[in-house]
Amino acid sequence: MPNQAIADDAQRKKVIGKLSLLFLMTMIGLTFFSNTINNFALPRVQTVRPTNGALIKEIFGVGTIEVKSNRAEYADANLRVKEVMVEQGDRVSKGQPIITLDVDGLKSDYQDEQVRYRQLQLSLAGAQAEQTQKQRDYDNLKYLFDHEAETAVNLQNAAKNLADAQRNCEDIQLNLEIQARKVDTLAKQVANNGVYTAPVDGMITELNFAAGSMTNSSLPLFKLADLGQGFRLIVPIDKDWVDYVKPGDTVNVNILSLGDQKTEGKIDKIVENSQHNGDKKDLWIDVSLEGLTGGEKGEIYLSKKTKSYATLVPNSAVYDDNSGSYVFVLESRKGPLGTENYLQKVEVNVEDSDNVKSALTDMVMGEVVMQSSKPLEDGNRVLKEAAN
Amino acid sequence: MNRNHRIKNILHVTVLLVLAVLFMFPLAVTVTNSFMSEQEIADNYDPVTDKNVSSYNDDSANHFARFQLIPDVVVLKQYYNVLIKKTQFLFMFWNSVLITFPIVIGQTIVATLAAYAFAKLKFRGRDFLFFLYIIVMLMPFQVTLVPNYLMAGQLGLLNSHWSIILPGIFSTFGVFLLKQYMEQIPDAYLEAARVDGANQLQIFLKIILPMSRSGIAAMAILVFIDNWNMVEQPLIFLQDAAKQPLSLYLSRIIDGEKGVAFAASTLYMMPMLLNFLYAEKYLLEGIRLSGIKG
Repeated sequence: MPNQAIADDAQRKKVIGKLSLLFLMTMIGLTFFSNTINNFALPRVQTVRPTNGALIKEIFGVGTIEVKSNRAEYADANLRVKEVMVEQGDRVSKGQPIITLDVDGLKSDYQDEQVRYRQLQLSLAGAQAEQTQKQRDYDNLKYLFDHEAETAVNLQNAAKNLADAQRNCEDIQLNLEIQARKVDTLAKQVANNGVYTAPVDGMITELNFAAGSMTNSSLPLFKLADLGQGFRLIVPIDKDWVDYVKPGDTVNVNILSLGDQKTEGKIDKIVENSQHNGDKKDLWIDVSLEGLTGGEKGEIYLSKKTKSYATLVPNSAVYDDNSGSYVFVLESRKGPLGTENYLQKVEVNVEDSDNVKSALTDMVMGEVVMQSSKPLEDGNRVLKEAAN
Repeated sequence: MNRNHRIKNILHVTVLLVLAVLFMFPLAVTVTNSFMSEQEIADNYDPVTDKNVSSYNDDSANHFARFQLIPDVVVLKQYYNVLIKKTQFLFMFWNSVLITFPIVIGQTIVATLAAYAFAKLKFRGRDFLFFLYIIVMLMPFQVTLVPNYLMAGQLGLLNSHWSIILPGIFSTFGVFLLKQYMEQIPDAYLEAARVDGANQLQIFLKIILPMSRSGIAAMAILVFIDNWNMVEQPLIFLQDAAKQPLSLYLSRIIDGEKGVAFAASTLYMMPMLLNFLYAEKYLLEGIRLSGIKG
């Protein structure tokens, strides 16, 4: 029996000894592998140190090509259109007939107006002679009055007569000028037999009347794009970008409608956008390229450096929540089993940013997380990976 | 007579069973709760541990913790957290090992030699010296704390494991326990050995040590338990958290990690439990013969 008890005790000790060994080995194994196992579950992050320098503002935009100068021709009277010799979009050269109006009715008008002009000329000559006479009368009376041989009343009457004659003369003079212009206009219309020609080389952009219709002096007969004055690309951009461009800047222009032809343009002026008043501005960019006619689509690209900032981080490093912007700064702590990295949430103010980086007003010490394999929270332990 | 004896036995067994259940209950709760999820633990204990819950909840029934032995769902998340996610536990475990084992080994060597001298050698001032030992042992730890601290500072041992190991090795408890045990060994064995020509070292190694095996084992276990559980010394002597032992880990578990506490406690008591089960016989025998309990 005592032998049995001794054997049982030995067996028990053996089992407990094995358990103790197993426990010890487990603790050793876990100590050795805990970092490895743990690292599988940790978010993997890539970090970057904040730098200093300037941001690069890249401005993109799409707009339409327009001619810089348009000419419009109006008819002075309501006349019937006899013939339209071009079509909209046609290229025309200076002096080329565009439209012919029926001016037969105008010829007699022209003659009448000429006669009326002549009549006014005669009237003016008579009025001028009368004015000379009145002046002479006044001078005589004035002389007598000065030598006390004439009354003041008579002198005043003479002065009044002289003023009336001068006024009459001036009135006729003005009427004569009006009539002269009328005659000139009619002379021009009649002289060209009602044919309107292109004032410059260009392209017809608008034709408002067809043959047989009556013209209307409020509408132009036609509009002509003056190709000799060049083209401009009008591109609407956000008003925030306006700070980074100025008239005179060179811009890369890509004309989409001409098979992506590339050229350079120069910013002529920056004006308010009529459709998005306040939010957008229009860049007027002078462009010159063979084959442009106006109406083409063009896109621009412009890059500009901003002022230098002390703290620049990648945009992907800046997170936002209800309380504002923040970054995660990597904090290395000496842990029991080596160096461990923890995240520290640091609130920041973003002063400016471009497509790649953000400028912070606050100094950030240490490395910031710019990419992570999992969503992050303040205090998370993470595994740092080398940036690609 | 037999009937009375049987009733007495039944009563004894009943009382012992009740006491055993009472003592085992906290252990059982600790072990079974270590397999519960964080949420389940929070549901059970938040009424007493979470101030926010008790402050706004007027339902008095919710102000008591719920001791639940069987987990709703058995999970190993707590063990994962303790053993893998929070490597601090493992590190502090090895700190405990590094502190406790040198103390146990050192004190065993010192105590057996000193106890032999006090128990079996006759020299002048022996009893007075032993009296001083008893005085030191009777002093509460707090009394010797300041001199210990100053001495460790003078020796440049502060914030080092040696500031705990050295006082631990020369603790008086082991000497006292083994002296009591060795006094039980009849002097006739020693006389016979001397007659046979054995010197002091031979007597110590060949007679005293083998006959004191139970006492030494009991002392080693008690010293191990005492030092595995120590809190005050590392708290005062080791400012560097990376050097502190596991006994301080449990006191540092914050509210948000209540779930971790049970798993950590279960793992924490494993070395002591295995130790006790391995040398239970020696421990009981040693305590019985020396008349001391830990």
